[in-house]
Amino acid sequence: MCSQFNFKRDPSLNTSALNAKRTCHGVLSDISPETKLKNTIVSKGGRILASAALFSVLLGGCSAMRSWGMKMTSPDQPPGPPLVQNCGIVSIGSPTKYVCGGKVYTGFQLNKLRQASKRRTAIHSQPIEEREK
Amino acid sequence: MKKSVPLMILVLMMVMPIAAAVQAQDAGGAGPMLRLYVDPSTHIVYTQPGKHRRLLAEIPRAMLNGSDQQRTAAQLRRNQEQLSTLAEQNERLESSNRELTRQVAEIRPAWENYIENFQNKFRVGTLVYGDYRLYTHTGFQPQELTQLTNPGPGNNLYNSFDLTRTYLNFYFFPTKDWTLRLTPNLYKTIGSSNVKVGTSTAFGSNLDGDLGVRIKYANLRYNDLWAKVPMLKGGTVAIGQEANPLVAWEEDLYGFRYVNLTPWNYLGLSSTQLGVSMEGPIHLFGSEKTYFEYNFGVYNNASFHAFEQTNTKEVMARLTAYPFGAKWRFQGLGVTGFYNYGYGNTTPDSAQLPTALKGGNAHITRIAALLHYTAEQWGLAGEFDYGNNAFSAANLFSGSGPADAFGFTTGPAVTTAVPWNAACSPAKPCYSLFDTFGPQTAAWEAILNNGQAREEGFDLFGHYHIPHTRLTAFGMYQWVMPNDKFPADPLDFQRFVVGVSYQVNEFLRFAFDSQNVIFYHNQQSVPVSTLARYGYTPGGSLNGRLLPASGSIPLLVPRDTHSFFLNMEFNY
Repeated sequence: MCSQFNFKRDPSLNTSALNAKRTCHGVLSDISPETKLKNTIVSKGGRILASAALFSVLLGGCSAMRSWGMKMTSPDQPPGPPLVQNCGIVSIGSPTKYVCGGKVYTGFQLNKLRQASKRRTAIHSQPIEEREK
Repeated sequence: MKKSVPLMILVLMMVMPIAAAVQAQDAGGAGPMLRLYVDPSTHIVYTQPGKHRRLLAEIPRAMLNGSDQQRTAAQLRRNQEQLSTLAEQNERLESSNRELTRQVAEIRPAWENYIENFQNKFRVGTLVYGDYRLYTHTGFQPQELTQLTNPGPGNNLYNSFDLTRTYLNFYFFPTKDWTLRLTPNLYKTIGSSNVKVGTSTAFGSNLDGDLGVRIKYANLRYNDLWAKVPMLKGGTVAIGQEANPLVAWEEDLYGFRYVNLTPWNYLGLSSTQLGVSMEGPIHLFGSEKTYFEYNFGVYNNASFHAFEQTNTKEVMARLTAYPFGAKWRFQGLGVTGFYNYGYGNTTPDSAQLPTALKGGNAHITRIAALLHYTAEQWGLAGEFDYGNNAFSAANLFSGSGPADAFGFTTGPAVTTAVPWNAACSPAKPCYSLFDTFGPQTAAWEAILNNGQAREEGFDLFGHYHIPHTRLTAFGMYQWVMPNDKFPADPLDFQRFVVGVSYQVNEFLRFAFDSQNVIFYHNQQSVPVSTLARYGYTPGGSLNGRLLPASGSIPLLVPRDTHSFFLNMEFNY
């Protein structure tokens, strides 16, 4: 009941009544029937709002929340080409398709990107003299 | 005078060769001749005859008129003519060569074009599933993967290497709007029917465990059905042997078909049907996002590896909604409904025979409702299943079943009257109640095959990629009530699969997992009178033996099954 009173200030209440609620020393009998009704309405409205918010969160699959440590829609992609182990499967077959960073790739495309990156890395890791050969 | 002698000699020296040539020419009948005369006393040469002069030589005038320069000029002209001829020939050759080069140049792009077209119009791939499995506890159960079988109770530590799928995927794209798919598939044959030939000869079956080949997919698809309707763009229509609206879609949603079957597939709904279907996305608000996805069709009642026997057909439809739109397949929150209505694969004359219960001739319904969320790194889905006559004893025993369900008897024969059947005799042997699966099989078939069974089930499956590793944890839980009209159905079971997958590269995955089937009710007996309401015939016959006519049938809860699998998937 206390927390309910603390939710919203009722402008119809005088200061002493408010203090009574805030400190929880007051009882419902201290409050006028109008105030009780308003509080009930506020309480119902709050519950509806809270329910709607909860439903939205459930419906949205918590996709907007970033505080979980695991990102829902944009995974941590290391620098370089997308790696198959970090991708999600969207269809299995010939070829299998994966989604990485919101883009859909076939297994062949991922393989090509990885091989190309591997070649570039190999070239850059060579001494300049050898590269020029 | 002295000067004239050398002069004459000089003249002679000049003239003699010419004269010789003139003689030669004269012999050929040449033109007018120049005649030279000489006075022998003075040695003077004259061009006219005279006194004391003698004919010295006759020279053709033509020879004397032509000079070396003229001959050289003539020769030059001839040479020039030859050169000109050669130049013309050379020009012709060069021209011919240029033409040939042009033709070759034209031929090469055509060859390249052919290859490009070939590449664009034909594709071949493969999909192979294999495994090694070990059962710590064996029992009767549906097959975990296509055509996987295992011995029943009492065969703990049974293990096996298997191939459960070997697709060769051939795709043909003759034009961009048509696609033909052909997919032969390797599968394990089970068969032991020997063949009698003539009056005294027989051949043994060679189908016992052979790897056979059968066509899994063979369909023609038209891709441009809604090419001019942006909202429906991407929709297709297909005819032939094709993936049904639910199973293949759900396999992709789950992502681990190489490990285990999806819920309705596990309960007997084949992944492939023969018929005609339409599928596609629905884009709303002019967006590229997919808000709905549909797939529906009309198919044979028979599965793709059975003869169609009915004069009816079955329908299947799936609709998936993505309330927030999906940029890629499955993305985000999705709600899916699936409906299937069909009939048992029975010929019309058999289906119309009057019976108390329709048994295998009854209609079949399958319903699935799914709520799913898919992200790149994880996915989770919950499913509710509901059906009628959709899980028969044949489905329950597709992986392993009691011999009594397949025409053989188990346990000792009872040949004297017993409390549960007074009719037992040597002429009419009975099944015993224990050390056999005969009465139990009859009870199980009554529970499942009576034509009024109602299935209910709940499933949960998902996966989670472990960050910065190649590992993905996955799992599936399935709770099946094969006939919820039967009180405390001893066949109610739960199945769960948990494992971890390792992605080797773009084409290869391995998984290690545990697969379990738990018939969770306490062991129980069921009165024959109860079973009789579900199609069990008290005192009836099964495989030539009489069944209990009264009392109860014991041990109706099958044993649990526990196994470990090492699975492999190769796709290319």
